[in-house]
Amino acid sequence: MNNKRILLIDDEETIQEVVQLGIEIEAGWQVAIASSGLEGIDLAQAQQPDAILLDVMMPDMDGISTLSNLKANATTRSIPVIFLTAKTQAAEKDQLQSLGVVDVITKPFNSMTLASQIAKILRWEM
Amino acid sequence: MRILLVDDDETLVDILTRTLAEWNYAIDVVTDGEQGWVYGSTYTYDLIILDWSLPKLDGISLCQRFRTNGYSIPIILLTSRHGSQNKIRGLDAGADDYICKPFDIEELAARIRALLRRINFDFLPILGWGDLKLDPCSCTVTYQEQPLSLSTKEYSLLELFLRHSPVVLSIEEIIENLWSSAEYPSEATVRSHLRNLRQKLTLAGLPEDLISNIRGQGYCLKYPEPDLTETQTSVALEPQIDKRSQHLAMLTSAWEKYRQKSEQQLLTLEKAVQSLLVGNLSVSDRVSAIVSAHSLAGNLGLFGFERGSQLARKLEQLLQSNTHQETATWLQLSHNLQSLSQEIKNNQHLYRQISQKISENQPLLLIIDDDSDFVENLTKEAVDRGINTKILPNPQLVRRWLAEQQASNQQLPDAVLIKISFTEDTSIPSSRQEYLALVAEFNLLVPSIPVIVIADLDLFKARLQVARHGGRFYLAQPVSPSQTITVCQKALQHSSLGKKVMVVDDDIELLQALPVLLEPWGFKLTTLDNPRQFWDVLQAVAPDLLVLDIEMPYLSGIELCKVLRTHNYWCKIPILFLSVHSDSTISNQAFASGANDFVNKPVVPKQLAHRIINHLNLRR
Repeated sequence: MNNKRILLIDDEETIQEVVQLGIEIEAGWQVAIASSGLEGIDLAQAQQPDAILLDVMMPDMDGISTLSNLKANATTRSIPVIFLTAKTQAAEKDQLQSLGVVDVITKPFNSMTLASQIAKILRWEM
Repeated sequence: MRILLVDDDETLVDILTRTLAEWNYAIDVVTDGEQGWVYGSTYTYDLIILDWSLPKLDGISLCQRFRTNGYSIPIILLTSRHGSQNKIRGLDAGADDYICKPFDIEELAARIRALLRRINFDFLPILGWGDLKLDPCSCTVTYQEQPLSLSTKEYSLLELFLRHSPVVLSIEEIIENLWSSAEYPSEATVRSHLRNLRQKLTLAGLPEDLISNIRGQGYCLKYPEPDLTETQTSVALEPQIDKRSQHLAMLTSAWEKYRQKSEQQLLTLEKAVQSLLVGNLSVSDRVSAIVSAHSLAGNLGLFGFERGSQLARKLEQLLQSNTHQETATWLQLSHNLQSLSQEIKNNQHLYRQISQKISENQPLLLIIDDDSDFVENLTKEAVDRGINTKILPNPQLVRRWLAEQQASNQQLPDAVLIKISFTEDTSIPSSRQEYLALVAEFNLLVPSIPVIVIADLDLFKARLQVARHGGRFYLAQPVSPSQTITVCQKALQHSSLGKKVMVVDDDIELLQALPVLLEPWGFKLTTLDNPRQFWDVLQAVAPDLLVLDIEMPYLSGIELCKVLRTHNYWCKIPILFLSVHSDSTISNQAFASGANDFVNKPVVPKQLAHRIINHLNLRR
């Protein structure tokens, strides 16, 4: 079960590095990186990852618009999406959750436990 | 394998990049001849693909420049110029191959493979190591004709080792060969890929040290050896590459890259707050400040700056809300920002801070020893391997600390390391008994805490005494801190904490009672009273061990067990049966269906817990 492929869509290089390496070290899953919503949509279509981690606040196309695009496309509609957000208010999280993502992970997260958090959300084995 | 593609045709570059990446090549793309020269003469490539018509310096001239300067790297020339005269010109310029556009991409792939084989003096199309085969044409790997599922990087690593066997490759060389120049993977990333590859090869049945770590030099693929005895010995001596150390190194390296940016972001925020105080914050500066605050809120916490993260979040909210704030509020925030900025600049203890950040939920080792030098080395080794430590010099202080921890419901140690002297002429003969009594006390706790004893003598009599008092491991000196912590890790692995146990029984009263009864052992218990939901719950919970009642409506425990034993993944899960029947016919049926243990009802919690722990440990 270690051959999972995750697509991270986030414009922050630090987050990209920490998420990619953290997940690779802890779970051995492959993590592809997209730095913008548009790039993320392209990669999601091309690579068909097992799950997408999507930052909410990004320049140009934000996470919510990216999610709409992913859900509007038949080839990416069924890929589970988890929002990454620095928003911590319960109401904001509920609002994000209602958009059709499987869960919302709040930044800052613990990179050591991020993979197990994802596995728990998606009911994957580690 | 790493390829440089020099072409200015965007569509072709796009197709080639995607296709070559699918074939596990690392690609660098440049769009003019001069850049091609800079890249080709700076980095190491296995092959260059050149377009004839290029801006600044055409493909033929570039090819000639490489050859004139002594570069023997294989070059494939791509061109839309047909005709033998052009081909002759291209090949005479130093190209090794020549392909006319439009071309079949499969043909290009075959020509790349052929050129790479020639360069490596490896004329067989399939690379191999004994029964391990790698086919570059189909990008497949098999061992004893069984396919292996490898990720792109794992495949590339294996190919690299197979092509260079038995040359030792340093991490830098591996990066240079397998990653494009636009990527900067850390050593931790490479080690992580290596570790995954080795795990998969080992799981497939290959020797554990097929890819060996040569300390201080790098990694190499060993020659197939018929005598595995020696190689197995060397595995034991190989230093463990620990996940936590990798994680620490990764975070530290990420912070070093991010530190400067975070200082700039803090400066932006400080300026914004200062402008607010004098009432002239422009809209664009406000937007910049919001973006900086958002980034800091998300990032600082990754590296243990929790306070900084909260401060940034508060500022983001205030700047977004655009509501009037008291001057005192902004002054306070400005002051906090300055002190945070100073904290980041002066941070001397980053390693410790990040270590603390990721050490949440790490196991705790209690070390009882008054030898400060040894303890210091032990602690360092333990921290490096993700184990928190508590040091106490003698049994009196241990008992006092334990009582305080229990009274305040604080974390108890997950394992105890205790040094005991068995030398007869010791000046305080009673102390040995006192230490042994302490070993027994830890053993009697529910659940018991494993104790590792370090003894000054290797005597059977001493071992017997330690075993009688419930000691889990006996280490005779001299023993290094590294060896000691390795044994402690073994003891910690025996902990049942967090192990997922699923109990299926139609006795609802028992299901309600079990979580309370088994709570002290720290299992994550899932109970199910309807065996018809068994499969869904099993998949969702993914337990480490199953407890099944034998007699249930619709489906018996024995039937469930039989189903599991036919499943590729679940066939190895430990299964304990519960039954009110104690006759041998039922228990024989249970064991014949694949049970690991059989426990009679009524359930004795401590007995059930110990049997669960034993089977969980046997599984490792």
